[in-house]
Amino acid sequence: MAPVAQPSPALHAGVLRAALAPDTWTHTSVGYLIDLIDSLTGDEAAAFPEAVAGVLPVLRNDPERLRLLTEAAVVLDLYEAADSLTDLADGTGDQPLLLAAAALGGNPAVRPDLRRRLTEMVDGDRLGLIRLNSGAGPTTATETVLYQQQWPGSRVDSREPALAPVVVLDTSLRADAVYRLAVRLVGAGASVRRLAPQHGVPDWFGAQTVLVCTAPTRSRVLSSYPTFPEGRILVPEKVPSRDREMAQLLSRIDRSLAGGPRLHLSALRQVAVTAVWDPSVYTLGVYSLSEASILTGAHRSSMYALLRKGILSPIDSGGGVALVTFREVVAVRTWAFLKASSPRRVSSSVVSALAKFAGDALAVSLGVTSDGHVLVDRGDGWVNVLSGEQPLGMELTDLDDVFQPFSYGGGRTLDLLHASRNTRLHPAILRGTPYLDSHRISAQALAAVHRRGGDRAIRQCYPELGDRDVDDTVSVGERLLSQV
Amino acid sequence: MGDVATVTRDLARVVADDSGLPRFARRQAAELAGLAHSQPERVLDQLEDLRRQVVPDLPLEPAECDYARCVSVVTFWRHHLRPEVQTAFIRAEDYRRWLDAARDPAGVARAHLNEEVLVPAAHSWLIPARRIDGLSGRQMKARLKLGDHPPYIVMVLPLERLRASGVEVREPRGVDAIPGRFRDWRAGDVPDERIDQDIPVAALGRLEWRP
Repeated sequence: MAPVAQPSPALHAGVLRAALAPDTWTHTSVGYLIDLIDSLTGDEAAAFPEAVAGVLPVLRNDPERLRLLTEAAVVLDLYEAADSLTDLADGTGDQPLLLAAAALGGNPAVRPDLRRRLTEMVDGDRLGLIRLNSGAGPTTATETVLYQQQWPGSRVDSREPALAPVVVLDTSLRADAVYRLAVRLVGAGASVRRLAPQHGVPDWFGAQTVLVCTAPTRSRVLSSYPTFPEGRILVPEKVPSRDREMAQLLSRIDRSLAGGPRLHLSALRQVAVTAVWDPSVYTLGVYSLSEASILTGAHRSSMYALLRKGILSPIDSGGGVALVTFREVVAVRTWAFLKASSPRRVSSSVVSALAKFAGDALAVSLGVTSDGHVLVDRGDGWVNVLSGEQPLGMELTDLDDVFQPFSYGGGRTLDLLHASRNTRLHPAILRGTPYLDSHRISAQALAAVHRRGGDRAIRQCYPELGDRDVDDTVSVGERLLSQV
Repeated sequence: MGDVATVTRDLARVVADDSGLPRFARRQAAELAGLAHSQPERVLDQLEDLRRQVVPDLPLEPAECDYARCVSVVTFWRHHLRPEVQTAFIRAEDYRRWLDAARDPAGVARAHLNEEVLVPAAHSWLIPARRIDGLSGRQMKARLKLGDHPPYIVMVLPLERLRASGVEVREPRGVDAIPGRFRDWRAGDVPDERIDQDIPVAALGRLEWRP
């Protein structure tokens, strides 16, 4: 048996501090853990399940937070927490805790003696027994629904849409990357299972399951389930840690689920985007061409060229300095994005079309075609903003994608609205320049202070920041100042 | 979502920055913000105490229109289901997909509704029903600044039922952000938003499904 990784006191504290923050009326099962999981090193990730197991008893007197962390343990299949949950259920007599422990107890990596203890504790309750043992076949419609969740190998019809698709993750893969992938899969509506290499292969491999694994695990699963389609086994060289590659892997997983229930990849997109389409916001912001150049990924000379041709109309500043609004920044960034991602020539009519678009209060998405048609989705499909017609067969770029970082000619743009962990942009705040989240302090101001006196100067100028880490925002500010 | 220290500090600032709250509450919250990093759990408890102290004195008014409460399926699964239904679904996502596949998701959800208090006061954020009339889930997410993703379940609370149940409403204040950990909440962000006392099931008119 592999040695159990022991969490450090700092990891315990990190999990506890994350677990105490959320509210059970507003938070999803794992959304509040994403920051923590994204920050885990490989060693910390290996010990993460044990850290969760250690924190659960600490929450004994806080039933709301205990419930939420228990949910997280179940949705991430942290079977290492089954022991803790069993003890808690035994001590409190809490039925939901017992059923959560039983759900984890179905994982073959759980010790047989613990599974026996849980079997005794559920005391013949069918909903508990089904969780623990795939041999406890369903006898009612309700039990069938439960059985198919816990033992997805029993799902024979790939088209049946009623339950979440299942993604089995091989624990032989790097732990930190696996947890990062797992929280995103959960966010996209998948049911995640963790398959440990040294234990049996459970009844998980049915018509709605995808396996992400190493080559040895692939062979092991196929020898137990020879009819499991190879097309639903993904053997990445490594599970990526970068966002773009992670998105590509999620897309591959989604494509391999074709024909059945799919992932909701759009749910992973940044939610702030929709708020800026409102006309009262979209046309705000004041940017110099230097700042706009950094934010758009277009060279300053290209921006001047667009001005000279009259494609961009600057704000009349009265001082002879060309300034543009958020609308123009989006227009030029879209043009730069299309040029960076398309092998074909991209017409600058995209810029003029978007620069004329004044926003739409009901828009949930905005799109543009490479020949300059602007399309809006108000929740019921794409519509051309000028003609009102629904486009057929047009290839369009969703502006949500334009807001994400992209590479261009040797450089890489910032995420437009969320430039770094602590940095945000909103056209109505501080004239639209990137700023420190929850503070009205621009990234450029922080960087300028930092240039003069480092961290100490920042603490002196902005005592309200306390010991908050603002390094990432300073870096964004440095990048903006570099063009001034 | 940050850790408890960051969330606590931000909540204290939400209270301190709300000019609609009594001066003593804002001053106390500002002091607590300074302690959030060293003693977050204690500060969170003190903010809760402050909320309990302030809320009874905030002016209530009778409801004057139909109101609606909008919840994600995760919240519905976690807080509104009858226990025997909830235990049949291991994860909220399975319940969400199961409802989504039903011919009448709102009708099924209504049949699964727990018959106890519909929403406790601290979580009873309401919006005039007309403001979300006809909106899709994605549009509601943008308009109401909802953190979770659609589909949503909308609980429609007709005026006559609210009045018959004795439910009164008031403008939300910074202290109301504490239980939900709404660290980015600002007064007036969602116009006409209201909060109130416990809402009994008797005040519920119908459920609507907003994919």
